[in-house]
Amino acid sequence: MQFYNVHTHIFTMNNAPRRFLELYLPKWAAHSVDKITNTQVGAWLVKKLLNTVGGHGGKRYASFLEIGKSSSQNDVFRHLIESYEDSSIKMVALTLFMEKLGADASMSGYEGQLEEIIALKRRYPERLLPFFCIDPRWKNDGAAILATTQRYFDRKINVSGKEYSPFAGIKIYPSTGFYPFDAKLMPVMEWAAKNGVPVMTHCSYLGGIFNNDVDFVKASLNPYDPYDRVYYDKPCYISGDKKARVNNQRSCSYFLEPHAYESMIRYFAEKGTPLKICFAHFGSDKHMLLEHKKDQTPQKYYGVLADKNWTAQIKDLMTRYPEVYTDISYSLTKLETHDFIFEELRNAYYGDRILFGTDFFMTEREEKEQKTYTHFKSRALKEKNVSDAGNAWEKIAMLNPEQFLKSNYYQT
Amino acid sequence: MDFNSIPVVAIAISIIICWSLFALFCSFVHEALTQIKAERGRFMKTYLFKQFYDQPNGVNWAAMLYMHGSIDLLTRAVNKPTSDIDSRLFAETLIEVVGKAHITQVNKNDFAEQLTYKSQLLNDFKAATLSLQQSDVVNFFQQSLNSAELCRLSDGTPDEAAIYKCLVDQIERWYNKMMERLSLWYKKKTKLRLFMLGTVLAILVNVDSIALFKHFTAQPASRKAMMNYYEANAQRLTALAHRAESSDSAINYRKQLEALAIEMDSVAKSAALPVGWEHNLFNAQTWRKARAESRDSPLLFSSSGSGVKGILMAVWSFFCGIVWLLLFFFCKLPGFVLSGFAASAGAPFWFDVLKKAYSTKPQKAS
Repeated sequence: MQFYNVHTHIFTMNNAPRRFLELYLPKWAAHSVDKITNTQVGAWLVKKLLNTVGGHGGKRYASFLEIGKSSSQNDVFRHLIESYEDSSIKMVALTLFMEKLGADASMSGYEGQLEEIIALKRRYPERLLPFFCIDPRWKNDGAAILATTQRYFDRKINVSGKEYSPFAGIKIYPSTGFYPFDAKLMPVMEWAAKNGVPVMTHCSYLGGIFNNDVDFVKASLNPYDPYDRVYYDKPCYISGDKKARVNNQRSCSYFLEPHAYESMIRYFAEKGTPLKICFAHFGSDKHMLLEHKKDQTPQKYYGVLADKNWTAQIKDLMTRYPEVYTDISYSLTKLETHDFIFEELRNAYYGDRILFGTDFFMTEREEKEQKTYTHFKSRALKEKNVSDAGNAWEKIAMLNPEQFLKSNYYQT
Repeated sequence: MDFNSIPVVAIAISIIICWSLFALFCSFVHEALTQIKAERGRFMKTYLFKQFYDQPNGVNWAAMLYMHGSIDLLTRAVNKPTSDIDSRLFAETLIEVVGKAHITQVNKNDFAEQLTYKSQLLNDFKAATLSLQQSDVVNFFQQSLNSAELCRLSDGTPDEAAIYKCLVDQIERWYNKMMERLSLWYKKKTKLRLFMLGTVLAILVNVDSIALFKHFTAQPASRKAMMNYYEANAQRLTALAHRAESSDSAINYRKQLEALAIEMDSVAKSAALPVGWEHNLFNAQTWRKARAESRDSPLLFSSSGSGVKGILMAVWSFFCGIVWLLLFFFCKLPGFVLSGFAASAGAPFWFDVLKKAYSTKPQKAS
């Protein structure tokens, strides 16, 4: 039996923007942590300090920094696979285009990041399934993005006489400053739909990476939607907080909210070549719990559909479109979400489109990968009679991912 | 009369001997720290990353170079990259990395007609120069290959072995020049750090150049002891100074430093110099001595009287004491900073000055 983790990251700080930590910490703190942890003594001191006085959270953050500061993706990937007792589990590693976050370019360059992961694919051709991140700002036009993407997928790598496509899917990260319906991404989406190539998108309410450039965010909020052929005119910059970082994060919710994907999903469904798309994180653990409690208290969220939580929006899309998936990555570190996950897994409409993923190494801030995996797996193995699968683990980590990953470039 | 025994000259020489020994000590401390932190390798890696960041193509060729097995195997630990990459190895690895990169391979077929070499390596490298977007780094690759391609056999066909050799030579030449520059940049950085380290160490072990000047002015025996020590050990110390600057990874700087510290301590004692840990500013005895020497200073931590008056006197005395301590420190600061400057000049410089001073001795004497 072949199991999958459909959501991991193995990039290093070399692949991230030079001022990456500023997206998480105040500028002075980010600068200090970065400078100090660049030296071995400094990294050791910060780790000791966080371990000693930082409590549980401090220990996790120290671990997160330690992995992120690894010198290569190879080290990070080795750390990942050593956390699993199942030595055959396949890992989807998501590359990230982070060159335009408003936090400087990366040290390695984006293509450099791709080179690193391709080199790693040569070492682990069976276990590693890289996803290719696309961003409208990467190339001048949609045709160039498509041509490059196709070439990267088509140019096979030869390992021990067997040919492999280096990439198994597409990754997008809209909160970095674009909408999923961006006109420059349309050709790639057409190509992905035609070839059954899965698309993974980040979708966690106020979570993850966002664009830190106020002017850019303001200028990008109302573009033309080529699928619906109208201007997306409802969003406007949220400037309620004193801190620009907070305002940016809130405003970037417009790019991310599930509602922003609808025109694109509908377009491909109506065309007869549905796009296989997975909304990562199931909207966030908080929204999952809101859904679980069936909390009817009216609340407002940042986004166009301001009165509907993101988990509900994803469920709605999954109910209406049979090629829409979600994964439970990161959210699964909150054990309270597990009941909700298993309940949803039994859903007759979309239970076979919920995927297992962990979001390593982002989750190291919450819990060690090994614990996250074993906790969830042991609980899932106890959940029997989940539709046609023997137990919830087989369904969420084997059957569902197989269906999602299968394409002209990857045969399960 | 011996030229070097003229009091002013002897004082100057004694001071320079102190500076050269102090600079030597600082250099060893610095090198020991540098060795522990593998800083030279990291400095080199940082600069190669800067030079080989190919923004238009989104690739950092240095990052890929360091990932390549032949360079990676030279690294002793993840965060301790090697500082010693042979120029030939660098050139050959770079040619392979650039040619084999996926970004080159995906576009290679577009230029199939122009790739006429029998050698796969040359074809791959040429494909990179043809398919990659223009950038400083790619221009350098193109220029190197264009020069190399001039190597032809007598019948006009390209001599592939010679082309490859020439290509490697071109990259090697660039690398060697880069390393020369890197050494200069590193020395510049080291100077500043030696100044800071020298000032801090001077404060810690009381190497106050002004106080030393006063001491040597007042103590001819001390001058004599210093000069005798130098004359007896000149060659060994000069060699040691050059070794401290050589940054040889085979030298165990920590052990050398320990031996040097013991030697310097004994020299300081034999010349009765007011330097060393026991003379440092934070030592209570130093304060008492300084206070006793300073007639006008208020009495430190002393109080007289009783009751409220006594408490007020004690507070006042304490406050005056703090002010006096700060004044004392700031009075000594120029002497420490001067020692810091002496350390930043480096031990070889001071030993050269001493060598010249001693070499003038016979002529002046005659």
